[in-house]
Amino acid sequence: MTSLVAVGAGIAVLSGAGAGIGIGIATSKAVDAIARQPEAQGKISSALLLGCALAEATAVYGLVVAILIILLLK
Amino acid sequence: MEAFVESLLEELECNVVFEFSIWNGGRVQVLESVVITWVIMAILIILSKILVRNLTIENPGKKQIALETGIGYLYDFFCGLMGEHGKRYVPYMITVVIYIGVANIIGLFGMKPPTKDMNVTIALALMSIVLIEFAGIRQKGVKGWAKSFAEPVAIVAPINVLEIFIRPLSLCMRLFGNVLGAFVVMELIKLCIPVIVPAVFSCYFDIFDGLIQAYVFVFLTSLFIKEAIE
Amino acid sequence: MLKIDFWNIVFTVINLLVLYWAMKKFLIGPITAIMDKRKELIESQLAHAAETEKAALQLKTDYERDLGNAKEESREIVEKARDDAKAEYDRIVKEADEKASAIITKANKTVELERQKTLQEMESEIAGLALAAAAKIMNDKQDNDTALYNKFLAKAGDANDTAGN
Repeated sequence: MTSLVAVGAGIAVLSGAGAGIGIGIATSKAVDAIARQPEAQGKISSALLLGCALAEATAVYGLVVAILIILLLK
Repeated sequence: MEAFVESLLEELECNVVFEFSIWNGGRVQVLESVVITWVIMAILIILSKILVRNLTIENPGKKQIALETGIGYLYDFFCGLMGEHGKRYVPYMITVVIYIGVANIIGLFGMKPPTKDMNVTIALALMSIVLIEFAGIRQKGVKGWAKSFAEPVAIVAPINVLEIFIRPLSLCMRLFGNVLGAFVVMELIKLCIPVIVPAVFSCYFDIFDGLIQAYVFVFLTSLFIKEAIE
Repeated sequence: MLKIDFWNIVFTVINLLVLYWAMKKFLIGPITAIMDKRKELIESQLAHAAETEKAALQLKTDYERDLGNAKEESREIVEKARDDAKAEYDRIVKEADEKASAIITKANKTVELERQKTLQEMESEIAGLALAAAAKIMNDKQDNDTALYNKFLAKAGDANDTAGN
C-alpha cells in the first residue's frame, strides 16, 4: 500500500512536465519577441512573468495533489 | 527519515493557538495563521503610522519619496489594469498585495507564512470573488450582471456560472500550492544541505516566488474585476 | 494546513477588512492625498507661472511701445525745440536787422537833417557873406551889376555844396 501511494504521488507530480514544456515555449517566444522588438522588453517580460506564474500553477496543482496523496493515504 | 517526515508534518501543521467557547456551546479554535495575520496587521499598521508621520508637500525626505514612489507605482498599476471605473477598488488591491507579500516572506523571520494555511487563501479567494461580482452588479445593475452570464452566446451560460466557483478555487489553490510547495522544497533543501545553500534558494522560493504569487493573485483579481465592470 | 475551518475563514475575512480599513486610513489615504495635493500645487504653480509670464510679456510689449513712443516724443520735442530755436533765431535776427536798418535810417535821416541844417546855415552864412561882399562891391563900385552878382552866388553855392558833403 505504501509503495502504491508513493507511485501515485510520483504520477501526480508528472504534471510538472506540462508546466515545464509550457514555460519553455513561452520563454522561447518571449526571447524571440525581445530579439525582434527590444524596446518592448518591459511589457514582454511582465507578460512572460504572468504566463509563467499561470503555467506553473499546473505543476503546483500536481505537487499539492501529490502531497495530499502522501498525507491522506498514508 | 521518519524523524524528518514527522518534523515536516509538524512544520506543515497549523497549530491551534487558543480556543474559546461560543454561545451554542461549540468550541472555536483560533489557528496560528490567524494569530500571525494579527501580527502582520500590527506590524503594517504601526509601520504605516510611523512612515506616514510628517508628510510634507514640499521638500519630501528620502523616506517619503520612497513611500510615494511605491504606493504611486501600485496605484498606477492597478488603475491601469482596472480603468477609470475600477478606481474605487484600488486601495483594497494595494492592501491585499501588501498583505500577501508580507505574509509570503514572513517565513524569513521564523514565522509560518499564513498563506500556507488553506483557510487564509480560501478567505482571500472568497473576498476576491465577492468583490468581482459586487463590482459587476454595481456597474451593470442586477439585471445587467445576470445578463452578462449569457455572453457571448447563451449556451456558454453554465460555464460562466461555473466560473464563479472555478475562479476562487483556482486563485486559492494557486496561492496555497505555491507557498506550500516552496515551503516543502525549502525544508528538503535544509535537510540535505543545512548551510549557505538554503540562503540562496530562500531568495528564490521565499522572496521572489512569494512576491510573484502576491502579484499574480492581485493581477488576476484586477483582471476579473476589469472584465466584470466592462 | 488542510483543515478547513469556518471560523478561521471568518476571522481572516474580518482581519482583511480591518487591515483594508487601516491601510486605507493610515497609509494609502494620506499618501494619495499628499500626492494629489502636490499635483494640485504644481499645477497651480505652473498656471501661476504661465500667468506671470503672460503678464511679463504684456508688460514688455507695453514697455516697448512706451519706449517707441518716448523716442518718437523725444524726437518731436527736439524737432520742436529746433524749430522754436530757429524761429527765435530768425525773429531775433530779423529784429536786429530791423533795428539796425531803423538805426541806419535814423542815422541817415539825422545826417541828412544835419546836412540840411548845415547847408542852411552855410547858405545863410554865404548869403550874409555874399551880402557883405555885395555891399562891399556896391560900396566899391557904384553900379550894381546884378548879373555878376547872381553868377557869383551860383558859383559860391556850388563850391559850398561840394565842401559840405
